[in-house]
Amino acid sequence: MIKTCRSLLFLILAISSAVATAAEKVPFDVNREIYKAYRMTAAGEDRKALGQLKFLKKRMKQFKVKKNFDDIALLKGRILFNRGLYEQALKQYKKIPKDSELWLSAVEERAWTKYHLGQKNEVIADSHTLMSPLFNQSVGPEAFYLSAYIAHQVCDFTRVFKVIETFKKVSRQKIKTLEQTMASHKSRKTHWQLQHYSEVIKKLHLIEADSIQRIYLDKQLAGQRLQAGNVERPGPDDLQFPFDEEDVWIDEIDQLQVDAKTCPTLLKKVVSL
Amino acid sequence: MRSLQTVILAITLISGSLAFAKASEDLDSLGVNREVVRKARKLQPNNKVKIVQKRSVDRRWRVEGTLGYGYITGGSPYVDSKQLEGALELHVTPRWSVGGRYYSFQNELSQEGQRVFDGSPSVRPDVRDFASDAYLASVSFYPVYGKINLFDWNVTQFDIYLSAGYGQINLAQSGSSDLISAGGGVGFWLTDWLTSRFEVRYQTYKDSIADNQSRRLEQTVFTAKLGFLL
Repeated sequence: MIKTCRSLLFLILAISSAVATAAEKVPFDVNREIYKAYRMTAAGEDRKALGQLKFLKKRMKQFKVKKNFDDIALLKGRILFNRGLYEQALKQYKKIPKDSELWLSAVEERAWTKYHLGQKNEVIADSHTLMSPLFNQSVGPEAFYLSAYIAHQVCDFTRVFKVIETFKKVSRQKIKTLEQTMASHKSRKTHWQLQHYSEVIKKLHLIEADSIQRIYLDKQLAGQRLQAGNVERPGPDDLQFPFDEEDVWIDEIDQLQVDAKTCPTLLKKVVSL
Repeated sequence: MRSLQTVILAITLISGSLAFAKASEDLDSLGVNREVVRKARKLQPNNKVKIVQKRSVDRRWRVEGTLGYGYITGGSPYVDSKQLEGALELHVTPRWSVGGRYYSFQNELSQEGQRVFDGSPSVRPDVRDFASDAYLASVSFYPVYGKINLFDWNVTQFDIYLSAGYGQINLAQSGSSDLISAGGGVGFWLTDWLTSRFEVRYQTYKDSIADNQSRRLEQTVFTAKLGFLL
């Protein structure tokens, strides 16, 4: 009797252990599945990629996998952005938490998304976040282009030149290193990085040239600026603090609110008879 | 044909390398016109950028229980009083809270009291009507907020508040007396459940001295408190 009980107990233990092991083991590689979706996007199969990500998320929930959700959100955001579904893309970018390695990329890409949605104030806020001295060395050249571009869009030429100056300061050494690497041993990655820098520099040149032209024009119309967009009112419990670009507190990151003005326009007087 | 391909490839590579060598030169030619930059600075677009952030600790309809220790100055020159405080504060909004406080007093002769006591036996300081405990209902208003960097450990938000209260103080000889209080302080919201307050309060009540004469005492109370938000 005791022997039977003991064997039964062993059997129960063995079965429960096998079940637990099966539950822990994930029968798919999340990174590999995300990469598959990337490849689908690269091949222009956006719908298929979205389907793949949806299926992957379902399986991750099933097997209680709690990582790589930020990778999925970023890729999904990119696909939706490419398809022109900006509202949905924005929702995906906002899912990426601040402690994620992809957060800076998400801020940059969501800023472009907001630009397409006409939310200029919010784009400027994001550009201030990206241009924070905390991230100067971490952001790519595209972030500088975005910041100069949006500043140019609202005729904030002071900021255009400030962004260009920071870009020069931050990128000089990086570009030199890339050029030296390129001269000693060519690699695809270095080639691509250098090419990207060159493109951004060209774009910044264009922005700078146009800014110079418009400075003289806008001087005549100074003061005639309208609001760039709607400003969200702070909630009753929200705290407001002055912003100092050079002294950013860690808790203030991504908490900016902007009330920007548009470019000066010649307002014609309407004469009623 | 193959040689043509090689030549094209070589040209592409060389031109590519030349283009990249230009990258740093192109970079240097950006923003060199200082005169324009100076002019641009004059064209201030008056864009407003501010930081808008949520309160790190939500204080809507939350109860805060505090324990405090206070030092009292003023009042009878012969008595040194300290008080232990237990309070419950109901935060209605982050700007307003109402509370109930209980104080237990610890009294001892002050240096002056001791000197008089040790002196002539015919002269004794009148310290019979000392305070034993008190109850106070209070209302607090938090008009100013801010934040501090707490030793690089945490950015802590705080509120500066004003408070007014009314209650009863129990005296050893004359029983209870009305207690009126007004003051202010600063509350630090350390975590979602831990708080700390430093408060300065003026309080006044009537006690009695020899021949049943009543006298109004005016005191200042400095209190440090530790609290728990529920």
